[in-house]
Amino acid sequence: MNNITIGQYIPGNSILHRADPRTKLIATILYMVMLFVSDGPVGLACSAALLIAAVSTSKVGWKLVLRSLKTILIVVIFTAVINLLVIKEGTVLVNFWLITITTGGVFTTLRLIVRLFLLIMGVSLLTFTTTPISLTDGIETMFKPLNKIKVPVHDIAMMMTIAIRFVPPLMEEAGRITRAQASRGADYTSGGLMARVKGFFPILLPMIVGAFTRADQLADAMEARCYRGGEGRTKFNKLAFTKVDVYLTVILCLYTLAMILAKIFL
Amino acid sequence: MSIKVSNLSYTYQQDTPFQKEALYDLTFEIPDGQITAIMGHTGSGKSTLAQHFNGLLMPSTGTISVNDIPVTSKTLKQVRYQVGMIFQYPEYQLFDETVLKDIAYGILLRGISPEEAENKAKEAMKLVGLDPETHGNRSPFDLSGGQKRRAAIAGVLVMEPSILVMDEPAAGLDPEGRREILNLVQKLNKEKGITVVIVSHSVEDMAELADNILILNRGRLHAFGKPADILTDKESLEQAGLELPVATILMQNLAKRLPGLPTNAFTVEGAVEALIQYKGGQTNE
Repeated sequence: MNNITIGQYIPGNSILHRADPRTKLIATILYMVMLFVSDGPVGLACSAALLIAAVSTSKVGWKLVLRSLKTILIVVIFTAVINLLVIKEGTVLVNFWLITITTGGVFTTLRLIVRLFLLIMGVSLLTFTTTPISLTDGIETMFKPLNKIKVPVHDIAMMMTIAIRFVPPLMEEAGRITRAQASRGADYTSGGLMARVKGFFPILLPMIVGAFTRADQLADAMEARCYRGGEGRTKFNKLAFTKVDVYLTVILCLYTLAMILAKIFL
Repeated sequence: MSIKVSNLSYTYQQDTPFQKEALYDLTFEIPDGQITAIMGHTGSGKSTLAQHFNGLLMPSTGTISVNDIPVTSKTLKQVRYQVGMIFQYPEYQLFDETVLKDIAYGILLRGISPEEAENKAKEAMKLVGLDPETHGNRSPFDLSGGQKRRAAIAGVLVMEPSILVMDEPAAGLDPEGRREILNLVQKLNKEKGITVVIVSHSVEDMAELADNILILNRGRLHAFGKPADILTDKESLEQAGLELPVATILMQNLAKRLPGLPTNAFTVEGAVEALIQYKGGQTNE
């Protein structure tokens, strides 16, 4: 449980850390869309350039960004192999038994790999530089207009915030209970399927009981402080666009323009 | 025998930006059949060290052995037969339908018959002062806070460990519950001959209980010795973020007004005794 890097916030004070979560969210969504709209060599090079620039300014470090790829490596390899074998365009490179590899297949596969890698690194960069709380804050503010059509935006955002807020303590608790039961001789790695499933009860049950207790306490604490939903509620930390966001928006516009031009002319 | 630690260091989340060195180069030996307290300020590495004693954490460098068995991933089972581990707030680990079943969980995994397991569980309940007749078939979640904790402790004692490691066993209990747990620790040590390692930051409790005191300060071994030496050294304790026991503070302050009063008492009884003796000495003169 010590090696979770995807979705983890890495504290820092870079331009990307300081930018408004809404800017970062829109930037990430735009980047993702552009990766699929303009997926020629020039388009991908533009996206890669943007990512490299973003990673270096974020000061998160390439090691972590690259490590985030590990989780999807199997999926990428699997899709790549399928693509390589199924696509039959251009000249034939290899023709052996049932396997036929063509130049078209190689190009498409390469493009796919680069695109997926750029996608994952971009999204991880968002979570590396944005705390979960400010991310939900950004989402809440962005989706506020949906209130008009009776979507409970605040409630959903509050639920997300609470869920995220409880991940670390629940992980800690899971670790503690696992260690305690392991000290009593618990074993979840041997025996048949049923034995293994049963082996998890001593961890799962205390976790569920604990989660309910926490939920109760939190509900009491919120009510004691007169929480009554989102209506008329103001924010302590109001999100505000700053100079940093202006810079990022300018860069983003240039990038989008380049991507669209690349799509049309190349 | 007992626990031997040499040059132990431990780093959390090695090779990540969250890398944190918790223990540095610890070497010491915990004597057999005694109560040894591990003390220190919050974050000094007490709990991290305690988890090495039964192989829940493995040293980053250095070695540790328990009853002459080196603690490695291959000897885990053997080591955990010897070392019972009671975590902070052990009541959170209760899960089974009845108190007896929960207590028997650990030994049942060792493949003994259910009848024998039940008998042992009943004995363990008596040992911690819970009545098997009235509490044995109740749900562990219906017990009071102090009872839950004792039931959880029974779940470890049922395995008859020769060494018991307890992390803040009295934390969060009322004074009566505290007293009960500390008395239980003493009883286990004196009557059952169990070697007890107890993690705590209450100097008063440890003054009463411990035979030896080990003090950690920011992951380093700060002091290790008898309570009489450790708990009367104000400067050393304060360096480690701890305070003198109230009895010692009282005696040291009294000594400023009463010349000749010995200041080496560290328990309430010791202080009372020293004061009576001092008074006796004065009236005799």
